[in-house]
Amino acid sequence: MNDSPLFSLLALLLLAAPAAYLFGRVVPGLRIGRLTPARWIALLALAGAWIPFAAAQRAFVESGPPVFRLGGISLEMDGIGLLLAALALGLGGLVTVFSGPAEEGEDGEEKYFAMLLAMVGAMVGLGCAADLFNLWLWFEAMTISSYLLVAFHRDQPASLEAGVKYLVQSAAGSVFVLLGIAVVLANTGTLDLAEIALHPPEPALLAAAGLFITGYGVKAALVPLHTWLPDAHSQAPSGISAMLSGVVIEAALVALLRALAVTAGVVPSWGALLIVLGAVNMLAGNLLALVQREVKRLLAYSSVSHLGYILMGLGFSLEAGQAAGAQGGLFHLLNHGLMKGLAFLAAGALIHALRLQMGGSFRALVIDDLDGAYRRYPLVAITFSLAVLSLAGLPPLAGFMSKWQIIAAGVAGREAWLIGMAHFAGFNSMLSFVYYLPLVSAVYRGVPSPAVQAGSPVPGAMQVPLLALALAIAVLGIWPGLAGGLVEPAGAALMEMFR
Amino acid sequence: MDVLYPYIILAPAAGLLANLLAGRRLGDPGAGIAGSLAAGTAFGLAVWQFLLLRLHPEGAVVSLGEWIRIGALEIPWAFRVDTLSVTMALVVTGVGTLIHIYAIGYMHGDPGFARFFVYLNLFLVAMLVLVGADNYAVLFVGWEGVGLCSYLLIGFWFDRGEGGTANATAGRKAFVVNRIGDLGLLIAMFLMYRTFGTLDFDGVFGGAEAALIAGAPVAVAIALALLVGAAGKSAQIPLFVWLPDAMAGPTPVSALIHAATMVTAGVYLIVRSHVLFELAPMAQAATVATGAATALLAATAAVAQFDIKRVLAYSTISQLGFMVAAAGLGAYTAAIFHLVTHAFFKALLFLAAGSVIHGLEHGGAGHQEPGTRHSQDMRTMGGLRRRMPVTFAVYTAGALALAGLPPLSGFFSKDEILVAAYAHGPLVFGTLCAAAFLTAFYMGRQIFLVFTGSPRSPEAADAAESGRVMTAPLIGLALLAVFGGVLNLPGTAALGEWLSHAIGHGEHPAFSLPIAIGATGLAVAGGWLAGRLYRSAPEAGPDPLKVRLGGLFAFLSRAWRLDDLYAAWIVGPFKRLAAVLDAGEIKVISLPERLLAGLTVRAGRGLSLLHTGQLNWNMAGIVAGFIALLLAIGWMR
Repeated sequence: MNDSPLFSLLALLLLAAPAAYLFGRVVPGLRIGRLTPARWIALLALAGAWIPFAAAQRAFVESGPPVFRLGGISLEMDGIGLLLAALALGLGGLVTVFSGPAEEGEDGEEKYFAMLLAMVGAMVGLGCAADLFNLWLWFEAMTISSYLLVAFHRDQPASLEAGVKYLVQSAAGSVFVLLGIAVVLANTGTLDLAEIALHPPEPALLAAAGLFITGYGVKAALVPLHTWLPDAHSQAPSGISAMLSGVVIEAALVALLRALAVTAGVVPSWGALLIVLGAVNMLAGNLLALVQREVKRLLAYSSVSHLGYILMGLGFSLEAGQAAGAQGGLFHLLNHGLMKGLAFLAAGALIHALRLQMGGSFRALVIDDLDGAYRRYPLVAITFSLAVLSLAGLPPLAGFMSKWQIIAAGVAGREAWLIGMAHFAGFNSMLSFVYYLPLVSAVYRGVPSPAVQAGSPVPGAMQVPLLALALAIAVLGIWPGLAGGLVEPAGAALMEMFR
Repeated sequence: MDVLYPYIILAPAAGLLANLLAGRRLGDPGAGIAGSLAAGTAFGLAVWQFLLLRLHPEGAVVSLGEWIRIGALEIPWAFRVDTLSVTMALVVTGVGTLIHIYAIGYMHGDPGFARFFVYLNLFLVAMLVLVGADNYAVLFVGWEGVGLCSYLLIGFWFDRGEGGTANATAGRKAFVVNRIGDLGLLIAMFLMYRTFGTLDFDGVFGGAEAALIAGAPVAVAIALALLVGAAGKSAQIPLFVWLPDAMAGPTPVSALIHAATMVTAGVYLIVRSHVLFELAPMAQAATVATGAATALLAATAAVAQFDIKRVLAYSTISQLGFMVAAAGLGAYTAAIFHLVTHAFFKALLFLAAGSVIHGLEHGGAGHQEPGTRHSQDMRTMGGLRRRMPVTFAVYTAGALALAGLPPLSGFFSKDEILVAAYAHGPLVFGTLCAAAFLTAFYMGRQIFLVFTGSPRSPEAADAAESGRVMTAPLIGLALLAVFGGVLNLPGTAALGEWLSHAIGHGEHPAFSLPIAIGATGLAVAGGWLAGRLYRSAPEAGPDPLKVRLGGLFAFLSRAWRLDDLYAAWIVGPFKRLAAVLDAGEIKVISLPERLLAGLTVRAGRGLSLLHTGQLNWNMAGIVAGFIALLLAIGWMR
């Protein structure tokens, strides 16, 4: 079984993580050009990971989801796993490129890249987990590697505070999950996802569902469990913010859906609950983003609301029993990873160039700092505005296409309350313009802010990922069908899970 | 027959693109030469098309592809080559080319030199689309296009004029007033589509002839709506008020757009749609009345102007009235004939007036900012005959042609209209005769004020003749103005024969010697009266006519105060209503919006208060969320 591409993929990432640490620690002089060993190992691993990924995808297309078994543990890469892996690998690779100049010379740089690799590997594994316990295990692995990254600037009180909150609240969430697993095991005698689904429905599983939603919901930032997120996402190094907002909360959502699916038989449909949770997330995230002055905090709250769109799309499809909403929701999951990743990376590029968090000074990027950024940093400004406008849902960018698909799926549900909810999503998207547009207009203002005037150039390694993501957003907006290869199997897998 | 028409349009389009992209690099005079070459090429192609058409005078239609297809409505980009459209195209490109060349000299040194030629070429494109269209929709494209160019060119010096905004305001006024006419044309198109299901000329006219009897309400409604459109573009009562203000544009613009071509589009529209008008005798009567009344009113206004270009502007309105009246009388050949000769002599007069203005501005004492009123006031001129001999000669030729002295071109074309009017009835005939008399008077007044006597200002004393690039087109136009009558000499009626292929035979009023003699007598009398009053005019002091007319003079000079009437009865109440609605909008209608916005922001603030950042509260949130979830799940169950 060890010739499985899935095994190679996971082994590559999970072996590269300690290797990056050890080489960076033991032989820091082993540079390739300006690349430190930790960095070139990470780059190589994340680039090389596409080979087994491509093999896995080919296997998926040819003979169904690739399976990897080791003893009693089995991993299965279905459509959702494929989508999550693609997003994690893609964004992880770009963040690694981006983080070179950002973390250059930072103390503990090798830990940064090692943890990043571990986190990506854990997310790939999470997407493939086929039983409840391993699902939790991968989830914890992802979480633990991300703690260290959130509190990476460990000499900054704000970072530490964010790290502590993140740790404590995640741990509480884990407890809920563990309790849920216990309930399931006690009632069905198995932890295998497929087997539980075959088990006759037990009312006790309802409690397990509540525990799963709460436990994984903390990480997926369901309101009101989201309170760690604005701190963690805004205090982490920007590359990590991009990962947290772009993939980690989405991975947690995948875990939530996998766990919830085992209880699908107990209630007529989980769709309604997902829609309501989505609506709450949307509104709360939007309202909270509306009053923010710090750019990264604003983007963090906007992630809360975007998770709402994803939930609502998935809810629409479960409620109406058609795949369009699931595809829309999962397409938005992919797009949100790209858009929010780009937004955080662009903000990070500015923070780096304006030297806001270097040496003695350590302050947040506020909206007023963006004034006139276009004049000095045209590429950063343009890609940042593209990301923000796409998040707002301006056609013809990717964010519009997926939001539109979600809303269309709701309207296609042909039930008054579904149509009402679709309208609610539309109004929320409109409301989001109120906080997105000031970001854009600030960037193009005529008089540069003092920070911009005193800024230094943006390194080329930071600009490459910005350009790549901006291109992806624009292209996916015009040819959304390009994502079909990932989104359609994922939608089908979701429908299969909840059948 | 080979159809060249699309290429005629393409030539100025190419010039437009060239100047748009590289106008700055071509510079002064390069951009002007490029624009003139484009116009000249268009004229050459138009002549070629004319020669081809002579062999096959029945004409042809060419479609460049589909434009609109909605249900049963199909509108192609179709152009019609017939004797009428080619005649118009010849005038537009021929006079247009001369004016382009003139403008190279006139606009020399202007910072917007290249932009000016971009607009001029764009105008040619739009005007050629207008006259070449084979359906009303494509015609409307050209119609709006020339309106846009008119707006852009009236406000070409948008930073000049009284208070720095007068020119821009004049452009806006022209645009807004024209919109009223455009609405008429649009309504006519809607009615046509509803009645005939098509906007093609052949479809509409054929449908009208087949389905409607004379006097059918729908025919009357369509024809009246078309008349409103024509009144807007061709500056007829009650919509003429924009044209005098349009003189704020550079003089070549006044000559090309606001005298020779664009303003005749309304006349062209009526002639082109003559089938519809003939089915609506009432609309024809309204057309005659509008044209004749406009001819007289504008002529009376022209006698009381001091601005050299405003005299010509009112004269243009008056002459357009002659054409519209002729079109209403069914004398289509006469209308088009007068349109053509008028294009010659009025373009000549405007360009010559421009030469006078240019001469005053660029003479020995010329330190004046161009475009200021002062250099256009005839009271500051005088005695220019000696300083600007060429300009004086061509101006006189144009004035005599306009006044209708035989054997100049204006004599023949106006005479045809008068003959048609005589056949119609004494009221229209009398009105037009009075207008013809006043025409001779105001032109005589202008010549005496500007060119004879002694200079009344230092600028006039120092004025210099304009350069060759300006005088050459003037001489060309003067020849046309003098000899243009041969197009349709009595007895040969070449133009009538030529146009009959496009608009049927219609009425061909025979030459009438008594009317010709009478009209000539009127012209001579008008000129003589002007000479009596102004030849011996004192060097300074009030206008002799003003002394004699008293308060009436002011009334006439403001064109019977129609502008004031509009200001008092339409614009004023509208502004007051807008103010009331504006206040109401802020207080009432936007209240829910502001309430919603305020609530949203307040909700955001309130919600953010819950985010204390304290861990124990955060944990409480998790527990609260769990409880809420359990309740929700229980409820779902």
